[in-house]
Amino acid sequence: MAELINTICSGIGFFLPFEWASHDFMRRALLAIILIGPAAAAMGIHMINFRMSFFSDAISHSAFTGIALGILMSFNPLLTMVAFGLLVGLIIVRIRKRSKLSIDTIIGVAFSTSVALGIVIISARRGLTRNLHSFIYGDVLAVGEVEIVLMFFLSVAVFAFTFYMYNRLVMMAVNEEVAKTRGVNTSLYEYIFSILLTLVVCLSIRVVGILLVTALIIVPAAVGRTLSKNVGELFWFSVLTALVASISGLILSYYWDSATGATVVLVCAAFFFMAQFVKGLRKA
Amino acid sequence: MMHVHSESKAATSEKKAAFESCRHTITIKDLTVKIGESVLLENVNATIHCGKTTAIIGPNGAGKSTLLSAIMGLIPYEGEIEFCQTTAHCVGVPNIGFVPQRIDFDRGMPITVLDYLCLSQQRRPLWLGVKKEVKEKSMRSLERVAADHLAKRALGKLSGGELQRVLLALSLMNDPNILLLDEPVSGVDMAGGELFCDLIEDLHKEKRFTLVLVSHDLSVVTSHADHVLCLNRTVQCEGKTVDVLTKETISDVFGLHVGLYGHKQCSDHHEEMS
Repeated sequence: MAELINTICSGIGFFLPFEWASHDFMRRALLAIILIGPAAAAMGIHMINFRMSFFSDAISHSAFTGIALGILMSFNPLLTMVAFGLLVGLIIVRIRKRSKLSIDTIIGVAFSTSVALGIVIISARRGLTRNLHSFIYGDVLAVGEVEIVLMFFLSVAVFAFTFYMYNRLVMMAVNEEVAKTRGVNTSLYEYIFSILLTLVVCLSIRVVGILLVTALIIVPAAVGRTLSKNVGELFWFSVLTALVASISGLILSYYWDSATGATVVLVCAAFFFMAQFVKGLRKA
Repeated sequence: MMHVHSESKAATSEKKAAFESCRHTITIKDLTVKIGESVLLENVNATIHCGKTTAIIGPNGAGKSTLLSAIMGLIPYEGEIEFCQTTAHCVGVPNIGFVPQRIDFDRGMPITVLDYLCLSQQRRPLWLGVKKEVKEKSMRSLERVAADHLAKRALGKLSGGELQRVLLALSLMNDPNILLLDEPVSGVDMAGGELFCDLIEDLHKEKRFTLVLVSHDLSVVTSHADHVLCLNRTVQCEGKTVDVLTKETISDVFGLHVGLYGHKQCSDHHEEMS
């Protein structure tokens, strides 16, 4: 696996004879961001459709607690982060199915509970904060081989999911009851969607950090929503925005010497405002 | 001679086809639906005859929509719901079409009417294009409900009546044996309601599906339904429309005095009760 990644990275160096692409860490970062950016956007489309933008916030903040737990118990923090994130995600979906509370109330409770738990752990064990730094702000330049492999499999899973279930998910988003009468197993899709979204959030944390994960997922999809007139365009605008913003953000961050994740999100945001402007022109 | 013979054969097969298409009588036995502690429906026993129009009436919270959900198999229940008269007719699950009362959705979603119809007809994601036959089928269904001019419109920009027709077009896509309508004309303006009633009448005459109609509007019920089911957690009364809809039973069910009046909107299509 490591060899394959190295081969791909030298391929990148060969096809992109630029200064920024001459560094090994930049080649890896490029690979990581191409794998995770568009996948995050593809999930973001449905997250906005389901009106659960807050969900990824809850997961990313619970990831913080998961990492703290991992460091505390000297376990691999990546593992505890994913496990704890999945736990919180499944609890949210479960409660939503059983209770009449609205989704943002449930998410709000889950969100604050997990953050509080994380702070309790961290405050009780001083010295943990230093390790958390790279998770809060993200560090795509330090992404390892294991993570790139994980991102690859996750990206494949996300696009397979969006290929087979896109139509059904959109139908569910318009109206769940009608979708059910058309034979859509809404419960199953909701669980699969939440699990995949949790995994995307956890792996995106390495790229953009806890604070900006939601932006990476939502902003490209918001651009897609602004520019498109039908559900086919929605997909393409969202995913292509993410791809272009990821690559150009990475390159800009190299020359500006700025944090990569934040720069990518900033480029996404620039696209968003341009999209609003274009839409304004279309209407006029 | 041969000619006559083949004609009579055709007539028999036609009769047989009509019989076949009309095999979905819904028999409900001791149906009870509970959610947590609250009992939404209790010991409901009823028969919804095939090919006829049955109206379900009752006050708010009587469990009318719950009964529809149970018929569609969307909620757990105790008791039995059967879709056939004799065991010989029990082949598979019937196609059930459903037009909900009023759908609450995100009106800013970039989805066209045509998109919405095509979504349920093809597995291939719409971002890789729509299959030609799916598009044609969807357009035919829209034409059937006088909504083909809406195909390219955004779903969120439709009026109540237009949306209702699009949902009807969607429910017709799979040629339903049973069509369930939940409050079809509430929240729709007069003209829209009239158009909808006309469409349903025409479709029902042509396809002879079993039609179940939940309605508050007693005038719609009197002008359309053959059969009426008064529901208030359990069946209060059941029978032919003319027999059931008397002042006494209505005030019993609704708990107030309601006068009957002729329905102007769809009365042209009033069908004689058999």
